[in-house]
Amino acid sequence: MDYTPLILSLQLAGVTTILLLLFAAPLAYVLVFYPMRGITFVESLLGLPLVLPPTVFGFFLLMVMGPEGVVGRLHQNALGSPLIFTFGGIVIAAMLHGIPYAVQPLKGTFAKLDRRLLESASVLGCSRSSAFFRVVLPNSLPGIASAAILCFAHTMGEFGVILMIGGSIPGETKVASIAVFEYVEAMRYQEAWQLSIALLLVSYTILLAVNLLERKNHAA
Amino acid sequence: MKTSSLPAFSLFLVLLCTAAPAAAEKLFIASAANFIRPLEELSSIYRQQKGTTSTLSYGSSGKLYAQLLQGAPYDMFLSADKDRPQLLYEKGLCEAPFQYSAGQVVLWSRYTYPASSSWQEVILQGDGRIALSNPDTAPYGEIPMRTLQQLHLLQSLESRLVYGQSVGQSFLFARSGAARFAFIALSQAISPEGQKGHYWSIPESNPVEQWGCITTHSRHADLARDFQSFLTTESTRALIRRHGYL
Repeated sequence: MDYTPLILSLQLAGVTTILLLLFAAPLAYVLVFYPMRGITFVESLLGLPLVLPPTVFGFFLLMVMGPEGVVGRLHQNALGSPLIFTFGGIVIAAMLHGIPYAVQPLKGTFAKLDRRLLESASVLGCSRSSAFFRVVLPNSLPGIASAAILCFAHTMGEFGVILMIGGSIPGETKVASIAVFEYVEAMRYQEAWQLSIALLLVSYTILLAVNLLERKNHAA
Repeated sequence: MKTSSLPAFSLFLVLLCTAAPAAAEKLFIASAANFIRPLEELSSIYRQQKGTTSTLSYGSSGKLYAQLLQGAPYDMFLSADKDRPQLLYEKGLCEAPFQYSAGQVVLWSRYTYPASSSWQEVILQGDGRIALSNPDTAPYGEIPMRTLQQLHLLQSLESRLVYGQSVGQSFLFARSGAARFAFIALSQAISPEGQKGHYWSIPESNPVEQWGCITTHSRHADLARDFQSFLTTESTRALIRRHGYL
């Protein structure tokens, strides 16, 4: 039994979660604390991945990320290698598709922060960016954790978008969901079972660990 | 909701449920993705001639075959190979298979290469990805895969292969430029979209024998048999040939 697709899924979910949080935390911070005019337009745009079918999302990405697309060409010119059909390519796709799963919980937590903390920080001479790192982030750890879990879980289950732009390359873009799909299509049900059960166990273990940690935090 | 509007709303729901027209006699055909264009044309001709409409469903042959094993409600299965209809027949899931066409695999690219080059020269000179349909489920991926193996080209090209779920997706990969080449059906290469690029024939690869069958659980077996004989008339065969089949 080949477990490469499962390991690839875990890698994809891990890398995507970390990069997405790095990108989404400042974004959510700006959205909550510095709302400017026209913010509703931006927020609606960021929510699109929740609404768009993965096929539509994937089709757009294929057109934009290919060597003939804007992003694909920029990448090719800058780094000399194509973006589409690579691990980096599906990371970017998963990040874009996961934006609302990261931004929404983070916004929720930031909005609940006690504003007086920020005011005190400002009075004590803390700049906006250092207030973000020294006041906002440390006080938002539970929200960051739930954003991370949502991103990770969503990316583990990513299927339609990767089907559209991955090209099913073993060890590169053939993640567990794709591999199971192909085993089923080829009627290799035994392999489909094995990989599915493995995926189930891994997913359950992660959720269990998260819930146990949360319990411990609540008790503490 | 105000209570006074509840009866009216219920009536609306009831009407909604009963308003569906009595099911007309309709054929449900599952076809391999390479045969989309001729089949759409044929089904519209058939509707004009006989008044029977058909619902068409597309996918790789392997995918449709797996669905049929699970009792998918198709009246007819048009595969891109000989084996799958034969296996269904042996399992008692369909009537005796019939051949309806023979396709050809070609190499396609949206980019221009010297006109005199053969497909092997082009594919070995050019870099970039090569799209191939999943060889496990799509005959149009299986046949070029076998050709690459026989010519000992697979080892040098394997790292450049990307896999589409059907010949339709393989074409999309190459059409969008995401892949530089794709192994597709000649019928796709001579379609209006396919004419936006170039294709090379592959003399080393066998024709793709395409067989079909009528499912045993079909509730419109008579209609399906009529469509089968329509598929084998001389004028239909001529139309299929115009779409790039032998």
